[in-house]
Amino acid sequence: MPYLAIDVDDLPKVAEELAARGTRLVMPVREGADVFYRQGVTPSEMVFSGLPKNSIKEFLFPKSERILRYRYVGNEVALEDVLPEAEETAIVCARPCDAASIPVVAPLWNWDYEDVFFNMRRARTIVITLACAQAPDEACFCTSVGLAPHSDKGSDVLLYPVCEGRLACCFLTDAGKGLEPLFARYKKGEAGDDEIEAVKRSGEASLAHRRRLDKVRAWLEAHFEDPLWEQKASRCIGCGTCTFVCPTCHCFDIQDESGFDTGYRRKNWDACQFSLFTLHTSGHNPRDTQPKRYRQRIYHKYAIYPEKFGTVLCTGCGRCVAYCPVNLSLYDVVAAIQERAEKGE
Amino acid sequence: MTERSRLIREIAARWLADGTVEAVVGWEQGTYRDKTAPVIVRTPEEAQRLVFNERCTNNLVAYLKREPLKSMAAVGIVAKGCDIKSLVGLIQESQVGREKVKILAVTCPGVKDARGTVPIKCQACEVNTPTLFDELVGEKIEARPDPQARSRSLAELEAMSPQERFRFWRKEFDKCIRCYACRQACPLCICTRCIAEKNQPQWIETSPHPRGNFAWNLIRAYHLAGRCVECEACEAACPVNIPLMLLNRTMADEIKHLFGYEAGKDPAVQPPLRTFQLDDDNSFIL
Repeated sequence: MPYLAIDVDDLPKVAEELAARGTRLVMPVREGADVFYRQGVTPSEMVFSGLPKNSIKEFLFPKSERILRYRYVGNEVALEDVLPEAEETAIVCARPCDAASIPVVAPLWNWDYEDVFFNMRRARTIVITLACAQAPDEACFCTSVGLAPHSDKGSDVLLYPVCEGRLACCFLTDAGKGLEPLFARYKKGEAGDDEIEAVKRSGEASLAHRRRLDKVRAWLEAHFEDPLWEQKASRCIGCGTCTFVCPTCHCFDIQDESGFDTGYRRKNWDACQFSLFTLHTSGHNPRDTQPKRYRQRIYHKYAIYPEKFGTVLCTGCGRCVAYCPVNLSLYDVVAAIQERAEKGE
Repeated sequence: MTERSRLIREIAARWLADGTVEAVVGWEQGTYRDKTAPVIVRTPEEAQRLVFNERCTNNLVAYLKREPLKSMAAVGIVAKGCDIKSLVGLIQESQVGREKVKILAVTCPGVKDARGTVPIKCQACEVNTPTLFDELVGEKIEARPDPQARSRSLAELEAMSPQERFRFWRKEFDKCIRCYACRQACPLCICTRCIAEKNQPQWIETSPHPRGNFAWNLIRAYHLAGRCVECEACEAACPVNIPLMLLNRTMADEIKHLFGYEAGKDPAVQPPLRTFQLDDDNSFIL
């Protein structure tokens, strides 16, 4: 089946047209030596390679947002709902691992409570993803968690960088198909299945980490107490970097911030690596050491979340591998677990 | 293997074998790019994992303040001259007893950060050959500090008007996600319960909004005034690239100007904000 193709240089023009319709644009841009997803940037700054240091999480689940307003009225407290500031948004040139994170976390936000903040933003966000013909970072391990450098999970449009600087466009969802006329205006011929297959092969072949992790969950279920946790995690310094750069980590804290006669309840990112995270009012802390907190992160991603929602809470983006200040690589830990499981240890 | 790595392994193994220390914290080869990773070794065999190279950027003194090393009676630490400056700070503040820590010092020609550039602390380094140690590894290296390296980094900021400077920091602090990697990587952030964690009442807003982020980053800078030894661990750990060292260097310059004191140099001298003298400058009091 032939796919519509456009010049890669025309993708910023497509983005510009979206912006002209009043859509908030989010895209990867260079900042110093690094790449970050940013909003409100000029489409011509878009970069097509590299793993952005942040994920797209903050555009669906901001690091801090107001969820409730309260006011003192005489001797009473009046409560008012605050609705999310959910603009029509296009995430352009998203990485497939980031796009995939949206359907991975969506069940969590709709499990015992329908989170209007996530849901409204998701409904108003369109994701245009660039498949990776080359792994953007040596930390990448998406195939290990059942995804791929060309995974279409969570994307509305998936672009394959085929030869001669062109992008083959797959319009996947209704929202994505709605953009087809816009892309068609920049049409530069077509691309065939063979070209798309070549992108898939080169992306997969370029991954440095490719170990299957299919035995990790079963191992975890039998090794809550194991010397591995202390061995691996004694170097953890207990910061929140891994959880905050993660596209799927979603824990949050609730804070009330008061002014003179009015205040807001806020939802802020929180991290299971912080000692305060599980500190009880009594002073007891069930996760009183860093290895226990590190173990929790692995359990949540590879055992608890799969049990509850049927999917691993990890898209293999590799950010927690690349940006851990002490090089405590999650991939190394789960690969070591897989190895022990294969040996029956 | 380099000669430094070989000697570090030999000495650490000896200390562990004869019971001089319970554990040694050092660097091992990492698994991401050419990074090294901090490692705590407890046996002579494990000590064979230790390495030293130009990517040994982490300041391992930060491990002395937390478990498992904190409650041990005697520990060894592999340290560069700059790391030892922060250990001096901990000794001055009675956080670590000198007799508890065996310093396996290594002479260092300078390290390279994650992007392969030479940090400013290395360009300005005066402690390539450490002076406080139990064992010293490596050839003596003559210090050739570039005295302008620090001031060059601050020139742009100092040339700004207060309004421009405020806008600069507003933009930088907006990036803060409150992961506290700066604090956790810092050898001198020693509070067992940080003020950002004191929530009855909540002294510092934990929300990563402009007010909360200003409060957090400024109070941390204040808390490090006269204490920060400019090891750059905070800036290296920051996942959103906030230039924290511009704050810390500015504070260090203020302390030097006011009190003629530079942190991390002499364990026998008390830091100015920890002591009181009758002839202290009182001119700021109305």
